Amino acid sequence: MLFNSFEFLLFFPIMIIGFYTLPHKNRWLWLLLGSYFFYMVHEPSLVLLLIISTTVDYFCALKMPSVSNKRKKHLLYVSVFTNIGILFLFKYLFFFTSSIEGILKFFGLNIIDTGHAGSYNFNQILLPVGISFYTFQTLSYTIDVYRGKILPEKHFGVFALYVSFFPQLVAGPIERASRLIPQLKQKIEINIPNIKKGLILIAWGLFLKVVVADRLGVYVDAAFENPESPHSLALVLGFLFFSFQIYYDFSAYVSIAIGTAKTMGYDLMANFNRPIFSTSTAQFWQRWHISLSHWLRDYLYAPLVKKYKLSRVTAVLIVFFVNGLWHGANWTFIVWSLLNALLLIIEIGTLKIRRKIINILKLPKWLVSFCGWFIVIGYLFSSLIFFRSPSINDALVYYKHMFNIGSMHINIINNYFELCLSILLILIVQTIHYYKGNSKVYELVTERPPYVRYCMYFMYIIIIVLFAINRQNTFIYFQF
Amino acid sequence: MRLKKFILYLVLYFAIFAGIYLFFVDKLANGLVDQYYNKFTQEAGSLIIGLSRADQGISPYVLDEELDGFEFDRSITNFAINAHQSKFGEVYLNAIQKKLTNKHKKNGLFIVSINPSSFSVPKTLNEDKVYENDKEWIIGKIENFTSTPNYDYIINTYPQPLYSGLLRATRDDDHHKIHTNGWTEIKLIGKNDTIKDNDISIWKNKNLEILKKNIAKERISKYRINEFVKTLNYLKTIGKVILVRIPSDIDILKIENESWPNFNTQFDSIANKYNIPYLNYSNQSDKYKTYDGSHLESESAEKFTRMLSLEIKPYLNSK
Repeated sequence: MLFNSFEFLLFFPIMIIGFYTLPHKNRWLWLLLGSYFFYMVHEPSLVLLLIISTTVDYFCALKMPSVSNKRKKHLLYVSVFTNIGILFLFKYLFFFTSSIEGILKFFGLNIIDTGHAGSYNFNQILLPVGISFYTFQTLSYTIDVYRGKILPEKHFGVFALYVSFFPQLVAGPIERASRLIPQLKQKIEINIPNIKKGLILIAWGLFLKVVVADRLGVYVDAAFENPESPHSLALVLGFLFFSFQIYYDFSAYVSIAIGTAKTMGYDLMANFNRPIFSTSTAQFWQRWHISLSHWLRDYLYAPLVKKYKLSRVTAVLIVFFVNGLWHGANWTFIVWSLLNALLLIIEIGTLKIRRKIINILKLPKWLVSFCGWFIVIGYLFSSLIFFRSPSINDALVYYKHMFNIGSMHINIINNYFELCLSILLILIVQTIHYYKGNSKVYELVTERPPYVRYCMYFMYIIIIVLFAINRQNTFIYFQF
Repeated sequence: MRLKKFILYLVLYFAIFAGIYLFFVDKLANGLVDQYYNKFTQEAGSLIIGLSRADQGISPYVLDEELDGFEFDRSITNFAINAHQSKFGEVYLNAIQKKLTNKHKKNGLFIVSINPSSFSVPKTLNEDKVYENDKEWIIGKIENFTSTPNYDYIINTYPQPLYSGLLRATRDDDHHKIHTNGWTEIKLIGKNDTIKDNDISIWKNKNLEILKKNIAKERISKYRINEFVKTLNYLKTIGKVILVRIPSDIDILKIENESWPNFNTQFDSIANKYNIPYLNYSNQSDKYKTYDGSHLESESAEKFTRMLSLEIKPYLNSK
């Protein structure tokens, strides 16, 4: 179910009313049923995978404290192989077989007869929505129990709700059991200021999605549809707009997710913290998709460096390779992520010498920050061309034509008003994020006197009604 | 008490929201919405079916006038859209069925226009995914094909922000007229300017390039051919079906013939098998003028429809 759909407009109030009407002891069941319904609206049969992951992880973790270390390790392997196995089967099998086939073909080996290749139909396997998100979430639980950081949850229903909690089920944030499970067990009383904050966050997310991100998407689609365009400036604007589009689109989802949870008294973790204002790659990845970055840091990077004694460079490369692969079964995502890793490695490797140069030249701090911001954001944004392009070849064609300084024509959507409006909206949203951050946008409203608030509420209606782009687009991160 | 007041405010807010939204939707629906809207605002007894060539090349006005003395269910609506919205498939067939209301399902006239594009799909799209792909079209997203105003269309498929539709409603395109019977008329002579031969030549060359690119990226779909046959079978049970290939520029035709050399023979044999006339005008490009190589301009569309009416008459019963 999409947050920006009429179905959700009906589903959400029913969930809230049911939640507050029911006694505390039954709320988990109500939320669990609602969460499964939320998931099944998209593709009912794929809920089975969610149930398998939940059941396996519940029992593996439950057994862990009472068995020997060796057996504990076996249980962890069962959990990891089940989850990664499902993920591999449903998300990466076609990518893996076609990549192997491509490599063998390159060396002149044709192991798959083209006449029979179609019968495998790996590309026909349906990708379960949000599989990467809930797989990582449930994996973090078993790993934490294995490491002894948390005790296993005994209540199967509460654990199932932790894995499937509808606000964050299909696109995160990837919550830790230590944060979410205690909240799910806690008795929640009606708290009107909290509900108001939640509703404002939902409204903000909706605005970001249907007014800003989808509007930018119109220009982005036009630019990326024709990477051979002679309008090089339009291609530059295309990738810049895409960078903001993906940011606002994902940030919108997270805002609605956090807002939805808040109306029920639950606090989800913030997934963004003004990433566009980062002045280094390391800082960017601490502020962008925070829940995934933290997951990769805690469950992959740390063991690679501490346990397996890999060098930081190798560990960074592996982490970013996995990060790319997590985003999608396509080499474009892997190249995009490795380009990020490259800048991060350069940054780490040149840290001392850069500091020396800055000290010798006595450069002012603001200038250093500005240069850092300009280089990092420019580089990371342009690397997103790989993220958006359907293939590496298309991305390279895009770069080639973008750097072939040609026509300065930018109005490829034949609508200057929409173009200017898009730029204006980016400036407005960035200003708001600069002052309020990503997760306290509600202060823009709650801190005003009543008559100003009412005017803002009314203006919001007019803006959404008249300026929303009616594409009913799914959120970009749903595909992951 | 505080909670009750809060809920009351929320309900009131959503009511105001819905009210304002419906007010603007209604305002838009009663003006000029977009190029497709008029195809979904009336019940139809007879239909023109196909892609953009039929959308612009066959005028229901002329058919009504020329076939005045003949029996067939009226009104006749141009329900052909374009290659992005109305290729043959379950989705188009379903839309046709919904467009025809029960009371008319007796004696319809169905002019079905075909050309190679009517049967193509992207090479990357598997046959069993074509239906899902077609569901993303306008006719796959709406349920209501016959109401005026058609709120279903605006709420579910209108792709522009509402403000732009409201602004556009006050303007009228000089060369481009969208009639209430679904016909899209393209006029060469406008109030302020005239489309010159040079413009036509440029557009034709662009169109040729697009056609070549599309042919390289697309393939003929068995699914579409099967669904086309199902469509013919359905239409035959409720009226007379005429299969037509509309004239286009000779260079366009050449490319189409190269991409599908036995197109006419194949559809001749399908037409024979189902006892349907196939009127192929593809080689009559010298008699009609297109504005881009593919689509007939207004005067030629009327001239072509008149000639088509003459050929249709023998298949209809007099009043």
